[in-house]
Amino acid sequence: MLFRHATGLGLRVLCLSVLMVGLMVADHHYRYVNNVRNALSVLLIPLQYTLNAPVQAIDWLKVSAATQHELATENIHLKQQLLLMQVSLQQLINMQQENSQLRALLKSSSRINGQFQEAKLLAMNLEPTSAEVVLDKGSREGVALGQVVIDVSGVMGQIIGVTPFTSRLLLITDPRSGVPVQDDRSGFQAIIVGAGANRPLSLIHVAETDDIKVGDLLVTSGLGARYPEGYPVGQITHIDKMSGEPFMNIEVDPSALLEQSRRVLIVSHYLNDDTKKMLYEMTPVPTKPAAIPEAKQ
Amino acid sequence: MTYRLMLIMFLSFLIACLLQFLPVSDILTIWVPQWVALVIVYWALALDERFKLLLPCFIGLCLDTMNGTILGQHALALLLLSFIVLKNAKQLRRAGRLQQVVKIGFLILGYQFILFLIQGVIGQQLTNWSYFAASLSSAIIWPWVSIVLDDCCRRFVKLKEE
Repeated sequence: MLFRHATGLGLRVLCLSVLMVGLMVADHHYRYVNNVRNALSVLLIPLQYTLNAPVQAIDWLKVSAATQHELATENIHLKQQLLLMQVSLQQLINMQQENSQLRALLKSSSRINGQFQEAKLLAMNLEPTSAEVVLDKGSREGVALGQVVIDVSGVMGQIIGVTPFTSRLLLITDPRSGVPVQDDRSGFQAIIVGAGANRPLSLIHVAETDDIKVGDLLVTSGLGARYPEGYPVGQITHIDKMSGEPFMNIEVDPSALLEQSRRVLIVSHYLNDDTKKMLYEMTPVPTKPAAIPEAKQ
Repeated sequence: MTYRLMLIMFLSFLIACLLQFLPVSDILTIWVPQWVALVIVYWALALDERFKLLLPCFIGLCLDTMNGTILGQHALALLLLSFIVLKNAKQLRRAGRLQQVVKIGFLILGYQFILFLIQGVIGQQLTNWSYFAASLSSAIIWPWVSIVLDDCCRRFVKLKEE
């Protein structure tokens, strides 16, 4: 009796293990199982929002515990900031016009400004293997795969998964992430890749003779057409010349406050649809994305 | 399997998931116990032959979706974990409290090691050994998990025919 039970158990475990390994292979190499993933993530949305509840409660407590005096001072401070921003915006509008005129003279394509959508991070403690976060906007609000997410100080990453109510953001610190950048000072172009959560980014394939210094600001170069041009990505903190190696070891400190930002902006509509379709066919998103909403319609 | 038992199982997994994914500060994050794995171990021990193997698979798939890892990773790890527990259920149940703690610690370490291996195979290797700290905290928290769940079972369902 005992023996029969044991063999039956082993067989069942073996069958299920084979099934699970098959599922992993299917998920890793093909896009077949995305429907399963989407169905499960819709099922788990209440859980994600429940997890976010304590954080929201603390935020709410902070606001309601603040005194009127504090709020009034903050208000004055914000108004001052707004005034300063508006003044610098006036200059910017002027410069933008000048820029587009110059670009027209050079017959180069004009820059397309993105539209922004605000989103909030859902608080979750994920496994430390990947640098991903979950946002509270999904395909119902028009979030699509490959859209770029920024915060007030720089690029955060790109969207790699969308459900109707939430979306998944791959941070630039993830080893799967690569961002084409250029040096703001010298115009030198390279690629930044992540090295894991809470670790500095690294600038790869840079030779000793290239014009790069500690303290240089790196901004997105717009090559690859996924990240829009001109957003800060990070600052070079450390350059290590290794003897016998063709490339240098360069550490970059991300500009975006990856650990602190709760409110982020999703950049959308910065490419036209044809280019987007072409790009999706050319370059797959790092993890297996679901069917592209635009392509379907 | 009675209706009440299913409800308690569902609630236990819900609470385990909440605890697992509860946002904590960076220093604590490696010490968050593997709550879901512990609850799977508990139910495998408690239900023994009535334990359905599809359960760890399904819960594992949910964990994969939440974590954004490839589908089947946690499912496989939980499946193998529950297999080992079911195989050694008698010894585990008979073991003293301290012995049980040590054994559960090693089981969770094995569970994490499976996850670690799969991550390595798909090319996202962990570089930080502090990842395995969670198995220590899981072992320490195990007696409380089993006491609480035992108490729930005794109060609401008759698990063992006595």
